[in-house]
Amino acid sequence: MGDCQRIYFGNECCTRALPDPTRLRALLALAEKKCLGVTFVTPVAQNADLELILESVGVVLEQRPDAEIAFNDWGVFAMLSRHYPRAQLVMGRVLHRTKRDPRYSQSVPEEQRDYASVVQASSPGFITFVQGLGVTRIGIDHLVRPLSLPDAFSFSLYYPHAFLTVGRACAARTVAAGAPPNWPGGCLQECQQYYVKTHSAAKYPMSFIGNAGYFLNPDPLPSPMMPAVNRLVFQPALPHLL
Amino acid sequence: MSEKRATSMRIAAPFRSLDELEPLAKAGADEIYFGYLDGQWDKRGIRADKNSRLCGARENIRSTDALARVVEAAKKVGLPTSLALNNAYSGLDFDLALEQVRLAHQMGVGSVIISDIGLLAEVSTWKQRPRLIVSTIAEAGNSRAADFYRQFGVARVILPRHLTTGEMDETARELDDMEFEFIILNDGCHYNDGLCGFHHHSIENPIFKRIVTLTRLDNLMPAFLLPALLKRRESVQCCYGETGFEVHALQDCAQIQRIEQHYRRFFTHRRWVFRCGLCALYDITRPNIAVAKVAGRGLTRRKKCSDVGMVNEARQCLAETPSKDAFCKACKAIFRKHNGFSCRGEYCYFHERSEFPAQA
Repeated sequence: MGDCQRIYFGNECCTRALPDPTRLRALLALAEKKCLGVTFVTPVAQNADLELILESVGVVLEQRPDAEIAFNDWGVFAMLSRHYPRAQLVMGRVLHRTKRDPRYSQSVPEEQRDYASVVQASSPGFITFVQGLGVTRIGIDHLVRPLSLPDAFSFSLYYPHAFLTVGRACAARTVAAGAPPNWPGGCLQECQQYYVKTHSAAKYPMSFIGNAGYFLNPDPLPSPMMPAVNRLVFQPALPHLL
Repeated sequence: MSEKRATSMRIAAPFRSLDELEPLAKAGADEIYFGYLDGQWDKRGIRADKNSRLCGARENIRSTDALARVVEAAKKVGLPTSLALNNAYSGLDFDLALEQVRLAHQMGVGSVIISDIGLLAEVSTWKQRPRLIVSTIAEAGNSRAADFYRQFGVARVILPRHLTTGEMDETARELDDMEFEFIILNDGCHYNDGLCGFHHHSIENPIFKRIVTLTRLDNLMPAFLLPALLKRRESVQCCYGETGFEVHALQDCAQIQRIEQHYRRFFTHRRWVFRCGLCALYDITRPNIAVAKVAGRGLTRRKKCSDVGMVNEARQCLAETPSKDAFCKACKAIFRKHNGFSCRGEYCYFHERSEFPAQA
């Protein structure tokens, strides 16, 4: 594992793509064996998903009380902070709102570059509120444009796959069934069977897998690295794959 | 049940300029909501997002004077007003957003619709402030999330458009002291509004702007236009209109060709934009789901009035039609009357009402 100090697992977009308890325990055992820290990523949720998320987090914290739990939904945050008040909750990258589209980043006019580089986490209201919740770490993506990050938080930079979008309905399922968009059909794990790569941003191919979209940013990481970034989350494969 | 719901459900209408006010009120609007972007934003070079509007700044009220006139005129006709602030604000524009809320309050705007959590938190601490409404973009997609926003003293939560009527009902039942709003028409993207990183850039090209804004097709944009829009630098940047793509099999997948065909339809289908949830009015029975929102601030006046009229007629129908089937039949007639084509279930906002699952 080289310089790796921590493993991330879970899923930020889909409850059905969360590892089951057996797999979770195996991952936790692996982390223990390799003396690695653990971050369990929880997804965006509807009511029906909350119980499973709570159970999964319970499995993780039972074995690793020091684990970080990344939340991507304010409802999940509220639930976890109530059930596990001592858990270390960090804000996932999905919840941090920003324009991620590589085509946008490439076409920002000169006079808007400053605006485009500043993130939601730099607003005084956001800092006061989120710090007040006890959240000190936020996930961000390796975007095509430079970012200016505040010192108020520690940031985890995801590389090289950046998150683009997520839908409640699974596009892969919808398409396989020939259903209308937004059809909240079931799951036959189509996300594990195929994904779609688009060509409209040639250097930064966008991939749609399951209910989510990502783009690959092969550009080198900023050098020097932004001071607020003190963790790199390396994602060599599309995040949705089990 | 039906009669009670018909009289209590309010209609929130999209609004842009003064000439829309009376027609919207006549069509059945009970309240209006609008955006505001004045020269302050332009001066700072903050033109990138245009308050989350596809067609840019023109979809917002553009001056303090215009805002004052709108608020006064709305008071005269008895329509409550809400100002939408749907961006995520950063350290560079947070002060402007706060200023906008202050201005709105001073001018007598009744409510502000906010999606940014930092802005909500800040404004909630003010002693004198307008009513706070949580935007659909704030993604209160489950009961816990809706309850989370309670701490800001919000008057209403607009539910995300991707919830089913059953999920809306469950949330409203669990939080029966909170008021909810749901979207009933238009803007039906497949992806979650508040979590999507695509940039819906302004359509600055005058020809496309004209096509998009001046025709009644503005909410039924023909699919063949989308690739052309996508290719332009100043155009829509999202997942619509993708024509160049390939499907990669991760496993031995025999149906790759069929999947590819379906994805072609998925990327270009006009159902992404035009969506209708009229029939769902029957299933929305919780009294605290009190407002049906017609989306589409950037649509033409005629289209807005037609849409509000549709919902109003469906609302009135609800009182007279005791059965679900009869109500849905009536809604289909209303749909045809206003749109000029038939509803075949393919534009359903709420797919639990669609026939599709049974056919799949």
